[in-house]
Amino acid sequence: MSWELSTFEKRFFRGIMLLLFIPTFSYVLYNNIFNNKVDWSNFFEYKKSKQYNGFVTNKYIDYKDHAIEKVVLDNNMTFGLISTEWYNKFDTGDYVFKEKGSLIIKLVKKNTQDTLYFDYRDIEIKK
Amino acid sequence: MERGGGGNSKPVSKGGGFIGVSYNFALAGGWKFNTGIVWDDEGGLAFYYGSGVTIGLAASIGLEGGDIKPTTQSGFTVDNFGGTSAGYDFSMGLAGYSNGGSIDTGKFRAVERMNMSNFGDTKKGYKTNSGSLSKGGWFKGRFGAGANWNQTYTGVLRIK
Repeated sequence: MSWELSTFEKRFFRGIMLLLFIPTFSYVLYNNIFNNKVDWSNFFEYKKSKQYNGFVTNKYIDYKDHAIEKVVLDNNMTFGLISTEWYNKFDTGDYVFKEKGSLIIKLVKKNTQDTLYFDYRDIEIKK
Repeated sequence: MERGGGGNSKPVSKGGGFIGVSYNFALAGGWKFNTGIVWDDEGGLAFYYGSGVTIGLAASIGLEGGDIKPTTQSGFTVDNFGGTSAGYDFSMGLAGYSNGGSIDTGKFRAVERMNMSNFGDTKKGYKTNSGSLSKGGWFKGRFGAGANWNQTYTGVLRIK
């Protein structure tokens, strides 16, 4: 599919392309070489802003959202976990408590009454 | 304090790759479609199919392929490829380059999704680097270059 462009149109698109291509490519190149780290500060701030508590009624893997393991509470609140290791510790009937401003999920096991702590900071790869 | 989940000292090397075909069009706004095969270092294999929106100036159809690096300690499996991702596509003549990653649409507004520091900033997150060989059409064939940002939703059908 193509059509002929006038000289003005060609110059116009070339100008737009220069304005778009060079800064965008420079931005991506710079970040890829010198700043290729994930900024987790937004993730942590987002998690800190969340607050929930309740009994676990369901857990599932959301294949429409990067196969993130999710937990559903009795008040219909849903939250995501960061690893399969966490997922395996959550069972129906367990009690979950997450305070606002905190990055830690507290899980009280139904059978043993043991309290387990899950820290969202564990998502980051430390080298 | 009894930790429920492991710490973050576990070494991570699990990544993956993908190869497929893509169609990319942007005239200020536009769309992108792609489909192909994705694999992970644990032997997982899946079909992927994606579609989404683009912003920029580009038009091409061709082959794409690249590598996938996990951004979290849980590593990458092909199932993690399904969901929303964002990235930048560039083309110059026949050759193209793309850089992107998973993105959390619930957390980030549109402009923040263009910030490369936020690529891979998700649970089960990943980043991609890929190249492409494409045939330009429309104005790209005449001007020889294209650049666009895209946000796509990808579905995955696991083969093994």
